[in-house]
Amino acid sequence: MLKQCLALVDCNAFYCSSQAVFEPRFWTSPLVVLSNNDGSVVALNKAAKNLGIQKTQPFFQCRALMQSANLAVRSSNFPLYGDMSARVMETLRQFSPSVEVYSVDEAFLCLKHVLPQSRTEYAHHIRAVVLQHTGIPISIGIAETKTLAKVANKIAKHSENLDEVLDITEALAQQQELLATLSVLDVWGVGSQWGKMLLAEGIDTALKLRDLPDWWVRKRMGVVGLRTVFELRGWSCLPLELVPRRRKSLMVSRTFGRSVCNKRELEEAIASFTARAAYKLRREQLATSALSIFVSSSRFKENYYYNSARSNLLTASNHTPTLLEYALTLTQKLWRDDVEFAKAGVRFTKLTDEDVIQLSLFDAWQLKDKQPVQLSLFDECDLQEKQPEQLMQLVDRLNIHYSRDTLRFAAMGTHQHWQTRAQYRSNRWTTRWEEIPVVKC
Amino acid sequence: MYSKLATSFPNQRCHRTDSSSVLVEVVYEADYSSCYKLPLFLIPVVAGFPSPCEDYLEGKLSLDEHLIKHPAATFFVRVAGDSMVGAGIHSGDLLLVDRALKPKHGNIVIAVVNGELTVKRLHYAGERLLLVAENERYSPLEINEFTEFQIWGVVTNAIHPLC
Repeated sequence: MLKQCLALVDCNAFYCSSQAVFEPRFWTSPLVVLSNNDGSVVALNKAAKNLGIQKTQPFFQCRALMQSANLAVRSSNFPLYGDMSARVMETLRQFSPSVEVYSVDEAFLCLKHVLPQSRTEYAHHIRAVVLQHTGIPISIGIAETKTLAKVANKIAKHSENLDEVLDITEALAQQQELLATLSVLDVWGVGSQWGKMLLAEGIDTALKLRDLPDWWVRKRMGVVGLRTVFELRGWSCLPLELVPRRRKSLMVSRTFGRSVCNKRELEEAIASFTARAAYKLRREQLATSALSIFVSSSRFKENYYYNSARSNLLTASNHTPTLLEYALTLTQKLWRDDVEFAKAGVRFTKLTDEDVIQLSLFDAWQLKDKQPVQLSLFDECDLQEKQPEQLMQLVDRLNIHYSRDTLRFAAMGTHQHWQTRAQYRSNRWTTRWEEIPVVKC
Repeated sequence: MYSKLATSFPNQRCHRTDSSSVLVEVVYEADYSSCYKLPLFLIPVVAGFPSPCEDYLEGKLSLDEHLIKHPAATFFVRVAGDSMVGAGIHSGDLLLVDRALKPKHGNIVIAVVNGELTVKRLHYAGERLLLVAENERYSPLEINEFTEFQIWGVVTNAIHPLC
């Protein structure tokens, strides 16, 4: 039985690279991509790093560089990045029967089918094909466990002479050497809490973590921590997740482009988030029995305010009008006129499959024209029951076909001044006909 | 079940609301004077006998399937300019670009020249690499070691609307 062999494929500066595919000067000219509402830097290319800019730096601090150093700026363009990610993942699937899409720009591939001596060459081939087909440059780290593959990938990305590929499968001496130079904080699975605890105990490298006694790890970091340590030792404990896990909650929230001080606008925002979340529920064939709303003011200003309210539904639902009713009622409770709202969100929990919805005692009473009529087990189901489902299916189909929110609920508002600001967004080069690249002829 | 399909005529008045609300330009009133009955079914009606075509039904023809061989590597671009009219590519046309194809001599390609996307025919003339136009008014561009050059993808189809 072959032991596991996993590759971690990671796109280099993914957001910046996605922009550069369509604006090729960004391969060499400095570029930063900004977070929602153009607040801070979420991605930067090599040339921008050389200017001294850092990730999460507030945008206003680098604004001057736009003039002085020819720094280009782009707002986050999720339709573009999502599409480019799908293309990269699709291209990776031809190289392995098992691909786990881990995040928008990372994937694990099983490489058991590749001969050990050919693995590095195979990885270079994967890089070349992904680059040619999609334009996105990637790095690949290969090892017998996910955690070690992450280590290999990190080293491959930052080393000058490795050419973005590193295979450390079963190379124990090499693994030892690399883990000794890697900070314990950089180990996948070690967060800030455990990081602090380990550093306080003198465990500052990945190697020291790996060599801790099992009982100590089990006691201080639980079975989850033990799995990470076992993985560092080359014992694969985290299998490839080829089927995404069923979600336990669904949230849609946004930071507003400008503060919301009027009740109508807050209601419109909450209604829009609810409609979007309900659409996502229907798309995954789920329904919710618990809905909560939260609102907050700006964390960067004085008198930070946060509040939330929750409602349970008697019967699970993914029908937008029903959910809107609950959401707007909760919004009434949360509204205050002395607060400048900067962010709001809707969260659905207690999710169930939509085809196993348990009707409550009260549902039978609502069916026929508001006259209380108790259905018996032997009554045939009326067409009327199907109508809400058909209405939402029609709305969803039209919105997919024409574009998002072509058909919307009145409560969502038409002007939506609170929408996220994105002053520097490039075209959606691959998802909108009117925004495809224009080539000179 | 039947529904009425009614013709309509525009009402003469125009409603204008104040500048902060949505502008209503014309109001239509339904005219029920002429009606057409159309059959409308909510539930599919099962015919008395099965269709003879049942066993031979084929899928619909799909342009996507026909034109796009490598979906993950296929992109659409629009043309601005007339240097390739000789090849049947006109300004405003839609081009299908396949990045998965290996560019060969004679292919029409999208190339990145000095940071810009451009469309030309690729010519290998011995050691020399040329980007050639398909219009007498444009001369070929030779690519040497000083030109910033890269092939972006191979153009497989041009879609030119006729009406």
